[in-house]
Amino acid sequence: MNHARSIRHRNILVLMVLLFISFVLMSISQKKFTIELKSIAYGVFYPFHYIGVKSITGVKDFFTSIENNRKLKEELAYARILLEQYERTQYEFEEIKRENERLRNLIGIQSKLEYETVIAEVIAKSPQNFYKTIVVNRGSTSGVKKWMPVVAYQDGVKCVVGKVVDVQRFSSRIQPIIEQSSYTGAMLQKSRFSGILQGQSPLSEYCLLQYIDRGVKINYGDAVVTSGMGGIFPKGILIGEVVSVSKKGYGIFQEALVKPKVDFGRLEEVYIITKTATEDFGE
Amino acid sequence: MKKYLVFIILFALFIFFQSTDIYSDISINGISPDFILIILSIGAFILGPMPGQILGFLVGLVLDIISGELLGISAFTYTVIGYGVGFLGKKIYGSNILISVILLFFATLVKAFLLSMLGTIFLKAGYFGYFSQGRVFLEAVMNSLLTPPFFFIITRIERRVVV
Repeated sequence: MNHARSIRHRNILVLMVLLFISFVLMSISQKKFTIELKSIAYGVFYPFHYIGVKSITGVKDFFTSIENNRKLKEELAYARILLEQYERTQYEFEEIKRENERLRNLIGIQSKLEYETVIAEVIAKSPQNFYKTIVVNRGSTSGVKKWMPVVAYQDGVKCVVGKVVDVQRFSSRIQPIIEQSSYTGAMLQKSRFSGILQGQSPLSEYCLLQYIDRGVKINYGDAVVTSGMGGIFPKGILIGEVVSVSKKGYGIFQEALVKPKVDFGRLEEVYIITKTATEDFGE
Repeated sequence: MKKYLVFIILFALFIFFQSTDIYSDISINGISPDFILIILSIGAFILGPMPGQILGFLVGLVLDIISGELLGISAFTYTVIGYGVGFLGKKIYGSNILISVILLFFATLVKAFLLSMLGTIFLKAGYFGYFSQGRVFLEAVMNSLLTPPFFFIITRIERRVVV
C-alpha cells in the first residue's frame, strides 16, 4: 500500500518537474538566447530530420516513378507546344518591355526594383497539425537571411509563400502566410485599399484581411497583393483572392477572408527573394 | 529498455513521416491524424504513467524544436497526455483496446485544448481557432479509429522484442 503510494507520489513529482520545465521554456521562448538555443538544437537535429524525411519521400518516389514517367512524357509533349508559343511571344514581350522603359523614363517614374532570388527545395514541413512551418534546403551559405520574403511559381503565377524566420548554415525555416502568427501587409489589387493579412486557426488554409475601410466595396474573387508596407515583401506580389467579406455591426473596418493562391499541399520549390527587410525586426 | 527503444524508433519514424508531403495527402477535409499522439497514448497505456510522461516530454520537446515556434508548448501538452493516459490505462481499466480508443478521443481533445490555451497565453489570442468548425473532433475520430490497428501492431512488436 505504502509502496504504491510512494510510486504515485514519485510519478506526480516527476510530472510537476517536467511541467515546470516546459512552463519555464515557454516563458523564455521569445528571449534572444532561447531563440539561438532553438536554432542550435535544430541544427543538431537537421541532418537526421533531413535524412529521415528524404528516405520516406524516396520510398514514395520509387513507387510513384512508373506513373510519373507516363505523366512526364505527356507533360513533355505539352511543354514543347508551350515553348513554341512562348518563343513567339518572347520577341513581342521584349519590345513591349523596352517601350515601357522608354515611357517610364519619359514621365520620370523609376523602374520597379528587381531582386535576386535563391531557389530552394522544400524538404520538410512541421510534423504537427498545430503549426505549418516549412523547412527548405538553403541557408546562410546561400545568402539567405532572416525576414527574407519567399515566393513560389504555381500555374505560371508568382505568389507569396511566407517569410524566412530562422536560418541555419544549410537550411532555413519559413513561416507561411497561413500560419496563425503571420502578419503581412496586403492590399486589394483593384481598389488599392490596404490592410493587414493574418493567418487563421492552425487547421485553416485561409487568411484574414483586416482593417479595410468599411466603405470600400469588396467583391468575391478580388485579387489581394502585397502592399509593400511592413518592409518585408516587395509591393504587388499576388497573395490570393477574396472568398468572403464580413462587416460587424459596429466599427469602421471590415474583414475579408482570403484564399491564398499558393497551394501549400503541393509546394516543392520556393524562391527566396534576397531582399533585406527595410525595418528592424530584431534577430 | 528494449520496449522503450521500440517506441523511440516509432516516434522517430512518424516524426519524419509527418514532415513529408505524404502526410498531408492522407487528410480528410484538410485534417490528418496525429500518429505521434496515437503512439504516445498507446505507449503510455502499455508502459504506465512514468514512462508515458517522460516519453511525452521528450517527443514534445523534439516537435517544438522542429516546428521552431513556442518552445515547451508541445512538451507540456504531451507530458500531460502521457501521464493522464498512463494513469488511467493502468490504474482504472487495465489493457483493453476499446478503452484505448476512447482515451485517444479524449487525448486529442485535451491536446487541442492545451495547445490552444497555451498558445493564447504565450503567443496571442485566437489560438482557440483550433476548435473551429468542429475540425478537431474530426481529428479525434480519426485518431480513435486508427488506434486499434496501431495497438495491435505495437503490442505484437513489443511482445516479440521483450521476449
